Amino acid sequence: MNDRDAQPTGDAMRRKVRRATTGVVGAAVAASAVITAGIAYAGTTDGQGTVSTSGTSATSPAITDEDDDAAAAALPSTTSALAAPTQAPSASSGRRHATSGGS
Amino acid sequence: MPTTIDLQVWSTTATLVVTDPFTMDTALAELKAELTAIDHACSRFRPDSEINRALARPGREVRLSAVLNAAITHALRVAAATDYLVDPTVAAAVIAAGYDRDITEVLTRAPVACDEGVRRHRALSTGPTATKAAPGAWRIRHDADAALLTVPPGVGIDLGATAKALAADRAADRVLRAVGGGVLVGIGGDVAVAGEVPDGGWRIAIGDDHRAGSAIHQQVSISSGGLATSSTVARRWRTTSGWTHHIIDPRTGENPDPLWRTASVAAANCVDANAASTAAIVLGAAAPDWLRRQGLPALLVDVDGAAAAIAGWPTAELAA
Repeated sequence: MNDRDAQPTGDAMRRKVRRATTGVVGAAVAASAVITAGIAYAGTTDGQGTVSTSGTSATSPAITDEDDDAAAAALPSTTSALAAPTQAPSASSGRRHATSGGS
Repeated sequence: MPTTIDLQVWSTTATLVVTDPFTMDTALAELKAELTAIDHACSRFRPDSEINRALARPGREVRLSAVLNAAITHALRVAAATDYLVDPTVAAAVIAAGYDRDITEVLTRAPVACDEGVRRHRALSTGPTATKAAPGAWRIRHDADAALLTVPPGVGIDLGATAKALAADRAADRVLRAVGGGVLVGIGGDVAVAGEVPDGGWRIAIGDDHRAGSAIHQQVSISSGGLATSSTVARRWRTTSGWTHHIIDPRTGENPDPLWRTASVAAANCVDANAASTAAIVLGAAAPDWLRRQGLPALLVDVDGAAAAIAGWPTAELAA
């Protein structure tokens, strides 16, 4: 009887289960990363992404002078948003530091 | 105890406040340096500005300085974020409305005909885009990483809507890095704050006009970010066909229907606050819902003086 034929002991069985669990979890993490990367890649190449000017020319439709009619219909959708403040203003009194108004 | 200094710039007033009075000289030098950098890059009234030199080469790829690259980046970002209600390609319509030179000259000269402005503009423009509606910022090709810009023929760019607010954001950050403490920079009513917050917050009066003497609707305090106000009663001039002002609806090339006379918005930075306040004036009756969806606290004052507090803006102490 060699080692391969031997019935696993309790410790050996626990080691096998741990290895199998690690393998399954690792595969799931890897698959998740691939899917996430794929979604991110799709988001950057579908032509409807944010006009993040880091790539306006890449994410906005390429429009030439010759296709004005097409351009009018090709307004890109907007996924960016203006950034809200961390805290809304509160009413105050006392000496003002500045005035916000038209100029 | 914060200390304040006002200076005249771009036919308006800039305000600098620092919490440490001993740093004011350095802070003021930093503010002036930033204002000069923005002016050289973004002014449409300087023939030698970088943006005008770029616009003189329509259809060609132009490499940008870091300052103009940042200004274009933010202008296009907020254009997209507002669904092009705030659009830098509104330049032609602004010129057609008579705002074709420094605002001091526009306000003091004899009334001009808007039609004359349109004729002048069309003489300068080419192609089918020489209409009053904005051609659309999506036509501009900009690679921010490579700092490259290509503006199609017939498309003008007016960075006035965002460059002033960007100057406030950049100057506040620049001064903070130079002197520490707490900093407030206001430029023509566009306010940015950074660093330490004084007791009671940064106290900002809200009015139709940022200059002294204007009626004040309310006073609020903020602790970070920016606050901006757009108004149809400032930068307003007479033409032969009536009064007009500087806020243009890019969709029509005309002043928006008069509903709000003043819109004040708080945001994470001054550029976004400025864009939202301008968009609110353009949107008219749709502005309250739009601001709520954006989560942007705002005060809207209509042409009759009735005030509406939106999305967490305080209702206390409202004058109207």
